[in-house]
Amino acid sequence: MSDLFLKNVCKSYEKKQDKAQYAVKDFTLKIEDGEFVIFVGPSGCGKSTTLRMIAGLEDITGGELWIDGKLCNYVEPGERDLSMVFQNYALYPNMNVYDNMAFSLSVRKVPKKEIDKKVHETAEILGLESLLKRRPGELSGGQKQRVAIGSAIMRSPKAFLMDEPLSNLDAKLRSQMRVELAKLHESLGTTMIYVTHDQTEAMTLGTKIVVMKDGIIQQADSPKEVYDNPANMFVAGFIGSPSMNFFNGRIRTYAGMPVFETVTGERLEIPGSRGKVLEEKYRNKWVILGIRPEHFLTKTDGSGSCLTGEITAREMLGAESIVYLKTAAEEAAARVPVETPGKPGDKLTLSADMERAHFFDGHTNENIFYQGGRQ
Amino acid sequence: MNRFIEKLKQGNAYLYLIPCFLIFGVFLFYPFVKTIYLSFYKTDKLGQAKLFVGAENYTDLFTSEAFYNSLFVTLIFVVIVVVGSMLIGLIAAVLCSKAFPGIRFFSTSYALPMAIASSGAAMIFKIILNPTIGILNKLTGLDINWINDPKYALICVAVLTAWLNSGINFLYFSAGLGNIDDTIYERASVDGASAVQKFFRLTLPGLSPIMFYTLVVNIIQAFQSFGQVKILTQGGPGESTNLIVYSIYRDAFFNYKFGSAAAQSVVLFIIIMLLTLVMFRVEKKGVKY
Ligand SMILES: Nc1ncnc2c1ncn2[C@@H]1O[C@H](COP(=O)(O)OP(=O)(O)OP(=O)(O)O)[C@@H](O)[C@H]1O
Ligand SMILES: [Mg+2]
Repeated sequence: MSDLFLKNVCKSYEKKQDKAQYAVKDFTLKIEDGEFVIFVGPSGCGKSTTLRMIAGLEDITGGELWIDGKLCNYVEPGERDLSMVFQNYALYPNMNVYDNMAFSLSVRKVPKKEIDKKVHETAEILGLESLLKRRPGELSGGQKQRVAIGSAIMRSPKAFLMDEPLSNLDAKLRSQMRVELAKLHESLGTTMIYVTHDQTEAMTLGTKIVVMKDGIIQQADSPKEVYDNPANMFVAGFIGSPSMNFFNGRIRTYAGMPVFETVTGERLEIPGSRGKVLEEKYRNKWVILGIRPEHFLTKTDGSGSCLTGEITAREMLGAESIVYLKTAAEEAAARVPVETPGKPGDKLTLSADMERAHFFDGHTNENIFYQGGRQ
Repeated sequence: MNRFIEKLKQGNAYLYLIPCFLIFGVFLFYPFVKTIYLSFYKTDKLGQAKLFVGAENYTDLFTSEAFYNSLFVTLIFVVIVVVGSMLIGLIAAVLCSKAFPGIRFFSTSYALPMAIASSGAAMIFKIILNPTIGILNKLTGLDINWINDPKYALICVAVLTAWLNSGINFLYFSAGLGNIDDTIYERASVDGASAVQKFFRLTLPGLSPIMFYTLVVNIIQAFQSFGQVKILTQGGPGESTNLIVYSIYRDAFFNYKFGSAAAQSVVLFIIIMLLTLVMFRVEKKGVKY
């Protein structure tokens, strides 16, 4: 039960400060009590490093870390009262599952009976009862991961830090565990900071998503905001699966209407006030158009926002299909109803929902219509 | 020659073992068998078997006060040496497991006793322990005749031996510590374990496989200590540092009782063998990972 505040936190692994390469740079984030914060970003962007700095396992090169209104840069890990699931499990190899889970309580001299009760409760939630006597060496990756989660949730710390805790589970177990974690968060109300690569986990669990790249926060906002209102091209492309389609082009005026003209000359009308703004500010300038796969419509009503391409591949996802089109300008993926006709090699015309399209500045890659962000 | 190569080509792998067996045979198997043989004889001054006496050498031993004293002294000595050398090695290894400036210097110093000959070290200790000019008495302001007082002589030899043996233990334990995954310490820190708890609940269990091995080697090594006794105390004062190995040496090369010495060797061999067997038995039962 606590809030965290990271202010301009930096981390550099280089010894010499002068030509410092930062693993994390100017990380400023306010985490309210009870929030479920998700760190996402490509591999090596500094998610684990940030988490380890919060836990106190990594020195903070610059900036301040406040936990519950207390400056914690130099507080020992054990005194921060946090609980962590490590990316590589970090189970104690010489102890069985029971002792592994009991460890954090037993070092705090909690009575044996209480520990016993808690271990069995937790083991039941995680489906580990039958494994309590085993040693970590005798467990599968997924089982180890569950033990790691179990060990972390034994206590009620100020915050849980989880570094890809579900990465090794099969799809079914993963969604089961996702539900368990959501339940846990709901019932305990404890602040959670959670690293994941999984889009579904990020979107369903998080109350705030922090998108990172090269150690720098790109955007920190609610899942809906990050999805609907990405700050820049990187966030737009990173969140969502399959990722957003991007088209290079220019803003032109065509038949009195503002249009987006791709490099190969296809024109897409931009309706509404956004068209006006673009026409004013970006006429003849390079912009990047971003359209999510689900914002393509199969019914082409002859409006001026159609794209035609040749189907290169088609994936069945059950209720929907993903078709990959090769248009004159770019490759594009579209999420369409299964019954949409067309097989690889056929031509398909789709209309883009330009109301929901995104426009990015051709030079800075920032979202032209990005509205603030809460941070 | 051709036939030899033919044989090799046929994959007669045993041929490769010949050099090894030659060395073992000359330096281990032959002396071993000969010792057992001698232990049933009375010998002349050249150590040739002269008179078959059956088990008399053994019955003499087991009725002799001096032999029991030897056994007792050896036991105390082994306990002090094993505990001492393992503690020194362990503490040094734990101290050197963290990176800090000058770590190489300290690691080398802690491993150094391994490279020092026991008799050389004994000479140095003799000077350190000298009652009038020795630095130990000077520093502590005590006036103790360390080597010539039956109360202290054994402890002095034992401590010296513990230090000598600690070098190799330092290496064993350092290797063992290197095998422990660092992240479990990180998790323990986050879990709130203190340094002491980490040591007893993670480090020691993590060292347990190598600990056993080190224990066996140390016990055997301690039983066989000789040079330091020879230089420092010659078994005295009285019989207070007359370890079995030294007693064997004395019986054989001063008293020319090779038969008795051989019998003592056999007894020592049996003791060490039994101990080792027991330890392996215990190890199998003990929990491992
Ligand atoms: N001990 C270290 N010494 C030097 N550089 C390091 C160290 N640990 C991490 N780094 C570097 O810091 C950067 C961030 O690493 P980090 O482990 O935080 O990435 P991550 O976002 O967790 O990636 P992943 O998703 O693959 O786990 C990387 O470029 C990495 O190479
Ligand atoms: Mg990581």
